[in-house]
Amino acid sequence: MNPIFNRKIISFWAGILIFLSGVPAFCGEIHIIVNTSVPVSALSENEIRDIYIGRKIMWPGNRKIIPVIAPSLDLHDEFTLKYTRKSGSQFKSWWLQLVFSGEGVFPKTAASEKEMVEKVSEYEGGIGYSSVKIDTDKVKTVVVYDKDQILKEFRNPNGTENE
Amino acid sequence: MNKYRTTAILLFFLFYAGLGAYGMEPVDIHGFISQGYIRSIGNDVMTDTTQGSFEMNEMGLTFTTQVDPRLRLGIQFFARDYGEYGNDEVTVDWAFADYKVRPWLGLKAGSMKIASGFYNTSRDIDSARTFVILPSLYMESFRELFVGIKGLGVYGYLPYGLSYIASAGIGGNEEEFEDSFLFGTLFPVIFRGFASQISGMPPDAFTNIHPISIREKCALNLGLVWNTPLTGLRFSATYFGTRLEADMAFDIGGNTYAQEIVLEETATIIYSAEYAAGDTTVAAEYMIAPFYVEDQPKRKMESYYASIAHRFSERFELGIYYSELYPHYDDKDGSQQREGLPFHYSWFKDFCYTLRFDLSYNWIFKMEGHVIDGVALNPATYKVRDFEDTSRRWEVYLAKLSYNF
Repeated sequence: MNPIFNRKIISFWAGILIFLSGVPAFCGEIHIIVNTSVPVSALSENEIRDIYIGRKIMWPGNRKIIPVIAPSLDLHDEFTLKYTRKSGSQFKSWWLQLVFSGEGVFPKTAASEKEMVEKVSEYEGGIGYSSVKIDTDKVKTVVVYDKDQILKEFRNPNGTENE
Repeated sequence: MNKYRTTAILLFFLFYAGLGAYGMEPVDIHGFISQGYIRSIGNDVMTDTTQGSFEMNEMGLTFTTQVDPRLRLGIQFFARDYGEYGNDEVTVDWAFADYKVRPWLGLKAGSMKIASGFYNTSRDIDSARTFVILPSLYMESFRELFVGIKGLGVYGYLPYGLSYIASAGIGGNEEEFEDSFLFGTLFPVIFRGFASQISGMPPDAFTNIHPISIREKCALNLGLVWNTPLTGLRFSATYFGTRLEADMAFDIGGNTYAQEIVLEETATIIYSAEYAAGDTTVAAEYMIAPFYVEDQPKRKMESYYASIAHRFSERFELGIYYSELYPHYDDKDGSQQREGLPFHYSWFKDFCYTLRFDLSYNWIFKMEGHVIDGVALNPATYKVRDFEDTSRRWEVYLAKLSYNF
């Protein structure tokens, strides 16, 4: 038998492929939470992206935005992919470039969802994400909207293409 | 340690000590350290890399603090060893105050990184990229020229995904210039070519060429980035220009002479495109670098590359790039023999492949190979006794372990 088709070799390479092709396991809804001192109740997807890639740094009213991340969670990879179009590792590389070239301050990190909520509660101007909707006296869940989609619906309320 | 560096360190610690008293935010501290092993076949990259060398490391420590929502202060100490360059001497990589007036207007004062292409500002940070050695467009040999600019800068975010940066001041540390590859090794070779053209004498009539002093008069850095509506797709154009003056000493027929050389303009213009989507990043950049010596025709260097990196899993990433570099835009095959060097000193074509393993969130290990044609601007191949002894085709292999926090 051709050694390429040897069962042990196939098993070995299949194992390697499974090891290499791990994918984020989180598939639920992502809720965006902010400290109750933050004077907004809704954010566009683009605003969330700009906050998490360091482009938007101030809330209305001159308050500093303090993003919080939880890199060890599957939720983190899902969040970065959805809002920044970067994988977890690309997201980290992006921030390392900003931090070590003096262009930004690394987001605060949390080890768990519980700690994420605690940190968003603690920092005025804090923003984070959660797999569940949270509303306490320190943290609120904001509405997330797709600005482009709203504009599209506003311009074309009947769902028919304009001439 | 020079006066500037000492002042910066003292100011930083005075500032750090005073933070608590004013109830300001604590200092954010991050750092990185990496150690590499390099071995080459055919030519040395640096001294004795054909025998294998561990003289390849970087380390940096960054302190930043938000004094108020608009004002941020920061400093980064940096040391590296790259063959005979750096030797782990601690330098201030950048140190500045950053005041954000509006989203479209920020002001910076101090020592800043130079925006040249997408990756110059993070060129020393191994953890922030896939590859160990950046494509030849980021000319490691000319690093001293591109390290930083001391002066004033403005930057901001404009509508439609545009952002800009403009800074002016003086460039790198002149003390470092004199020992650099650019001035200590390459400049004498270029000088020999110019002197030969002017005098009509053969290039090897000029011997013992070395810089006596180097002065960088002014530097200007401009950059424009467009983050397109397609998230992950961005384009940029950057310009970095400076004027340099050097006093060169040389011997002809046993007599020593000195000549001032004025590089009226050394400009580096880079056009860049990058698309990062999910686990894949594709990038391409093109550089054209005109420079001219007073009373001499303008000359240009050219370089370009394309790269792709794909992450197969949380731990494993594979990247490849192909790059080309030409010291003479209009003499890519070396047929004009401007410096009297063998033909293969006229180009540097590099195919690179890298495996990156993220051992944990903070530890990264990389293995990299380079298959190279040509030796243009490679430090060690300008220091050999006989240029004809160098190999046109050669290979470089590297392994590097990095830690960041």
